Amino acid sequence: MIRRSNGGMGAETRSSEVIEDLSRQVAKKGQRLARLEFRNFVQEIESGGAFDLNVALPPRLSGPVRHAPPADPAVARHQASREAPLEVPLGDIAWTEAPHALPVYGIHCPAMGGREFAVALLRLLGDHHRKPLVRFVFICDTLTPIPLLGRYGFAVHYLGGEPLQDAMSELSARFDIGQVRALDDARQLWRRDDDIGQ
Amino acid sequence: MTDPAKARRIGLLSLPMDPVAQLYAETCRAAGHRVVGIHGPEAADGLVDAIVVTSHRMFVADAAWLCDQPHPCDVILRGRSQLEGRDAWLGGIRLCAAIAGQSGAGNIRLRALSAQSAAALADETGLVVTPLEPRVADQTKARRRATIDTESGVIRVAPQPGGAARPDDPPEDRTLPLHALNWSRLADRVTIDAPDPPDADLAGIVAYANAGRAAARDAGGERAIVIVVPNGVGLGHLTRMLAVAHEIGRLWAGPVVFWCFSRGAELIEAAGHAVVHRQTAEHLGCESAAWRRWETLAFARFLQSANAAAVVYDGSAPDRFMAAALREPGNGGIGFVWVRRGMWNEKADCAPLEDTHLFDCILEPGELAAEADKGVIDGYTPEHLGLAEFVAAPPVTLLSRDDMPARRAARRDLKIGRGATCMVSLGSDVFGGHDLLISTLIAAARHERVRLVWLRSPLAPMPGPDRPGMEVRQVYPVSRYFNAFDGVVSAAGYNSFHELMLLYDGPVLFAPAENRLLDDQAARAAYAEEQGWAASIRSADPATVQFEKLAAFMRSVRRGEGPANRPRVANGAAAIAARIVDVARRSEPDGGAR
Repeated sequence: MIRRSNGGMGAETRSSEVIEDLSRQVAKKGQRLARLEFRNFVQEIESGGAFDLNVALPPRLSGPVRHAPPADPAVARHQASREAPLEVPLGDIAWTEAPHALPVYGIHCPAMGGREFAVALLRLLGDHHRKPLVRFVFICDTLTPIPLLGRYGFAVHYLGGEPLQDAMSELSARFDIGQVRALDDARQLWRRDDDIGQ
Repeated sequence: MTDPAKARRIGLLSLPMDPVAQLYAETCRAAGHRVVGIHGPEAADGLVDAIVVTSHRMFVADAAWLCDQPHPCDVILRGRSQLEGRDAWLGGIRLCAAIAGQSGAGNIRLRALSAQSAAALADETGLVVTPLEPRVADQTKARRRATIDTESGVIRVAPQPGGAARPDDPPEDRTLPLHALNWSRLADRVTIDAPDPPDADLAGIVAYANAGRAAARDAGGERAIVIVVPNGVGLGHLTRMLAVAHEIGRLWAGPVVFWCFSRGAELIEAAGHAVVHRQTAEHLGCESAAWRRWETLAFARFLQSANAAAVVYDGSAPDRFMAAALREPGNGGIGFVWVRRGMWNEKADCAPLEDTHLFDCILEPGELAAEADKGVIDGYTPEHLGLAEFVAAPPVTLLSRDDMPARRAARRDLKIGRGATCMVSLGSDVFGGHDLLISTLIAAARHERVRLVWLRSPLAPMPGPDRPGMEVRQVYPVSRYFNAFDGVVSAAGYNSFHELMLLYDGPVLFAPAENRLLDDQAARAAYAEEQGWAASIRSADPATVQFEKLAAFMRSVRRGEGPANRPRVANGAAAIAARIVDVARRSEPDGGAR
């Protein structure tokens, strides 16, 4: 009995050691992958062509930008109110043990030149890579940054001409977004009534 | 036409997939009212002007707030279902009537689905209720007959009336699950016989549905054709649908709007179409059932705000959020089209073909290598075919030869100088995926003094530094620049294959991606080789054989020798667009023609 009990405790200790060891390995792997992805991201963004689409459609297939009709924000808010929010990814360039415990911020990306985008994104995502404190949903006025941000595993939303305030009636519930800040100067553009973040 | 600003906003409180809500909502929309699905008291606060509760059971459950809210509220008393005892049903009706009668505001009105249902209710309960206005009948339209088999939960649809069954119609009845389609869409296409054994609730719904299709919509504004582009590998679906959208624009007055999961959404916008960019559950790393609920809500709302006439999906596995959104009340007047190409790999998962019955039309873009198609799709019979028509069209390409700059201009645009130059286009994979092939290709090209330029999708990750012997350009669409090259080495996906065979005269070598679960690129490449249209190389070939084939091909590139026997067929985009517009017009008041 005693031997079995000791053996049991020993086995328990060993299995907890194995789990801890596995967790450490997963953490190391996650950190390594995030470092690698961040290096790729920096390389892409510093190439100067990260936002160039090089569209060469013939004139007969080209046209001016048109926007889809927006939904009624009041209806969107009502219908979204009974749904649980979706998880928001941390992005491939960062790693943390419990990403889903981090709050979600919207980052509004206005229409900008490629160079301006590159500088602003590098600043924001450099900090995010070093120490992720929040998860981001990039809310974009144009489709320009979407291929790059999507490729690195971020949540994105294209406004398509809809005012930010209107879009937030659904987006805040869909992604549990507490506040929205501007990409270029981090000023607060929108805040949910119950948000306690600074 | 009704001024949208004056249209009443009607809040519908109903159970999911309630046929009465689906039928009633379409009648409201036809009359120019806006229909909003609601679920709680906050809806009464400025969101709607009137409320319709589509069953007395639902009213009893929500009576606390419905009796306190200020708007007119109609409650539809439903017949007894087969599963409900008479006493329970009667108790429910009486409770509902009692609560409504005690409502202080006096704004609750009891309704029946039809005069017949009202009379039956009066007989059974002594209640006097007003019937709903009958749905407007379209007497001119020939409809197929359908019967409900309540035991197996299916609707059996008889062959086309008039005895002239189309070739795609099997002689036997077709079936579809009882609640697979929005009942308003169903009633527009079939006349339903009363169920046997009788079910008073279902019989009432059938009688209401058969009174006729909802009148042509008067929701105001142009109606849109909505194209759903999935997140496929590369830009194939998006490119094919851009070609079709352009042709739709020639036939349809309303806009073409894309609901797009591809990161290439900006390409759609550059083509002058509005686009709603979306992310999949996989993109977001979230639970798929929760994602689908959100997507259904957003898509259903979007279809109403776009005043959609048809939804077109191009892909191999339609996600169920689309069908769910089309079942939402208010979306019953919308056609559903599946653009689905053939040449499925033998290993392909055929489960998505079980969704055939959800569509009005399955459109198959043509395939030059059709003789090599292993018949995976044709050999599979879904349990339900529903009302789907099957239509084949010629192959689709985005560009025509007139869209392609001549050699000198194309070379200038791509910054390619003189000398024999071969284009490489091996899909959106990174170099690593083709490592061995690339090394052999570079060696063979160097041996024959041919320059290689890889034309890649602008959505692919930025490549690392150029490999010695391989330059890279990123551009869309790649086919625009074929004339710059003396030869092409390419994967054999649908678009690349057909663009090269129909728009290019120089030598082509196909290197099919053989790890695709769905697309049988190897069969396509082998067929082209058999026909003498192109050379091909397989991953299973030994490296020495690959080198010899590539070197021989590079010699033909130097000579600029292309075969003269490639097929010449019309672009199928116009035929596909015409069929889509035909589906859309079934619910278009003025035919939508320019």
